[in-house]
Amino acid sequence: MPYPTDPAGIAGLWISWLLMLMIYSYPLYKENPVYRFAEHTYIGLMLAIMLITTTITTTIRMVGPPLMQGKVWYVIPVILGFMMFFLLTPRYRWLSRYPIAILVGAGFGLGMRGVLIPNITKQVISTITPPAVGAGAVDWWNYIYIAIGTICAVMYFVLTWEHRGAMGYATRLGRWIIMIGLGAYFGNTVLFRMAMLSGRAQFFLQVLRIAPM
Amino acid sequence: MAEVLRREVVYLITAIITILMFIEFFFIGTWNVAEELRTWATIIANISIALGAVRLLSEHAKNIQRRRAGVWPFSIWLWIIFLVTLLSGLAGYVIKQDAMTNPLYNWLFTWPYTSLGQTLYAITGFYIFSAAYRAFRARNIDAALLLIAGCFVILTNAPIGGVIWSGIPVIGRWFLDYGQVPGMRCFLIVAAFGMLAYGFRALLGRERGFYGEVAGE
Repeated sequence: MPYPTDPAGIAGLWISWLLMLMIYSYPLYKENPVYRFAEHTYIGLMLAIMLITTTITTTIRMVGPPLMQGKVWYVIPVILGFMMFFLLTPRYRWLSRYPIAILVGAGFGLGMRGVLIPNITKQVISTITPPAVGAGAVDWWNYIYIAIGTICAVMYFVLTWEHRGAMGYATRLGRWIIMIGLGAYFGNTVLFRMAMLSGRAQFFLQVLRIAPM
Repeated sequence: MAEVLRREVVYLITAIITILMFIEFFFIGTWNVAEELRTWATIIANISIALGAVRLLSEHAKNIQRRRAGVWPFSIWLWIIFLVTLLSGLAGYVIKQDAMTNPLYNWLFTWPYTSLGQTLYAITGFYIFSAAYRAFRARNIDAALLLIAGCFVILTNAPIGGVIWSGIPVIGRWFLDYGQVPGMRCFLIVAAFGMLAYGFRALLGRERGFYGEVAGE
């Protein structure tokens, strides 16, 4: 994004810069009124934007056209949605269970059928499928590592058998495999967060025109 | 009767909808009834998001009403910024069917909101160092493996890794492409079985926490 030239853009840029410093006063110093001001600004903005983009705009777009086509039963999910507000009244709280039942039913139905193929079948197939004909020793080593590693790591979560004897050795290896996986994952997380932070540091310098925008 | 309406009918609705989703997936492919129900669920979810907003705003209204020390001026500011953003967005939506067409809403979204969102997300960068220091201490074999894998991955993605030793990116790539695969695959499989078990409990009406019921109620 180029450096803004219009007054509204320049004001926006500097206000964003100030709000960023206000937020970072918390980790760099301690909780203070300046931080709270920026925090409450964000919450107020987020609530309004969330209501507009999700509740109002999306609902109208999803309900409006079917109603215009004469599908009057589309009033039912709107009524059910507003029934969620009965959560705020202790006496009629139980009425909010009906919309929750639909959300939970659809959520579990989609979730359960969604995990069967990608998370179980395909993972098992990928684990047991050997390398293609003519693969080198490295490919075979990786295949054996992944196959044995996955089996041992899954065994670590089998809690109906005591982890002793042969099972104990397998689950110990499984735990090491999990640690390697977590270490790589955590390394990626550290780098991602640092990249986010360096992006903000870059913004800090860009607003001051020390770094190019 | 009232008890049946409060409990059994609710569990039955959950079970029927879950089964309808299964029937569509295993026997039909795409089914209008299931599609309509998914649309209903999305509409309900969209409207219920407003519940969180209402709850939070009412708490801040109470802060103002009770003049809670050190808090109420910020609650007033929150209400002001909320109303300004909401009204400007609604004005844009009512006039041109797009909230972003309102210059004030567009400005609030482009500058303060985007910047604050990025800043708050990036704030974790300050804490990740202390978390990494605590996690990356080789107290036993488990922690040592975590440390080795983490360090190689970090040094592989950071340009300095290849400068220190050309083998670091090679080993780091192995950790990323193969080393972490069994661990992550195990999580996918185990989480899927957990999801299935939890789902079946909900289907049978044995998992009731999300209805607001507490144990022994």
